[in-house]
Amino acid sequence: MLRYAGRLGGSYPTEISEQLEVEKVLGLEADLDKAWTPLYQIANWPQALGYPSDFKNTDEGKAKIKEMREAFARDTIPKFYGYFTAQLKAHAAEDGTLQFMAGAKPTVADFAVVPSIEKYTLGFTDHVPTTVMDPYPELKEYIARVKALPGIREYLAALKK
Amino acid sequence: MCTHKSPVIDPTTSCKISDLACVRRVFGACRHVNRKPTPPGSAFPDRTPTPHSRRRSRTSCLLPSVTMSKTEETSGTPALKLTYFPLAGRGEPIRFALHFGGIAFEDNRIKFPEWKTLKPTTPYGQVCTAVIRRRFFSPYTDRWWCWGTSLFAASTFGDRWCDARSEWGHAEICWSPGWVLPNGDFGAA
Repeated sequence: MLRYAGRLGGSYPTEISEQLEVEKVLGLEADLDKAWTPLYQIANWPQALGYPSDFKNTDEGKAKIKEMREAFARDTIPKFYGYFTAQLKAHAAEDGTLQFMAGAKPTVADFAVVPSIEKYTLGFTDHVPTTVMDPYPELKEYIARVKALPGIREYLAALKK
Repeated sequence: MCTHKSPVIDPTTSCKISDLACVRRVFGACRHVNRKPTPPGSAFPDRTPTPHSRRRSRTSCLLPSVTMSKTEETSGTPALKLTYFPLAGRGEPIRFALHFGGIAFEDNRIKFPEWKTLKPTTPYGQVCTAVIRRRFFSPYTDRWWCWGTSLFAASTFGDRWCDARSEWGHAEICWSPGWVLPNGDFGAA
């Protein structure tokens, strides 16, 4: 549905080589989400992983969730933030200015990545410190850049009211 | 105007569009072969509609001569309705894409208590869902893509694509519904 919306709104490229770049980033974003999913499930849907439904209220469960999520914040997030930073740098302008994930123009890849990487800094993922993006100033600037795009800026401003 | 980059399309050869952007080719309705040459002194090909009798099939009637209604021009309700929870999750990228593209849509943010009753009525037991109420014009993608959109919706979902009475007339997606528990509750991450 995202791709459909992108085609309607001009943020999904028509050139096949540009589509590849967008798809690459969308795939990477899906990988990050896939890595997070079991850590969500173990707290909120432990039956899916073979644990009893009240697992998160037991001492064993609390320790396990903390351990898994701290490992995620320590190992997985930096790995993916590094990948996304590298992708931004690969598509930097000639003068070195960072642009968007798939080049100079914003695409659906940016719209997918921004909420996905920002999620861990908002404080609602327990045991993941909100400072997790601090070593990646490029990503912070990038998020601000995407959120300031026409249309999105107005939408987010209206949402805050 | 064709979204494909080739400035000149030779009417004597077959379709030269090699990428998937050519929706019509995908659906076997590409009319590049019949494209008229650019009239002398004009930068654009002749856009006079092909007479009905010369079209390849009934399905291609979906393409050219129908009047495109600009979103919200003929009716107060947007042509597109997106249903998702009032959080970022899987809906936010779609909202971003629509807002960025200037596409009017109804942002239907369902509350979590509603989800229990809504869930069984969704096609795949999950959101996001989108309802396309009628075909509409996209300012960013010109008529070519608009036709493509109509074709896409029509061929995937039969005749319901333009049926406003059908609540889930058109639904695609879906992402893993990991946000919502099987019993319909939502737990904080």
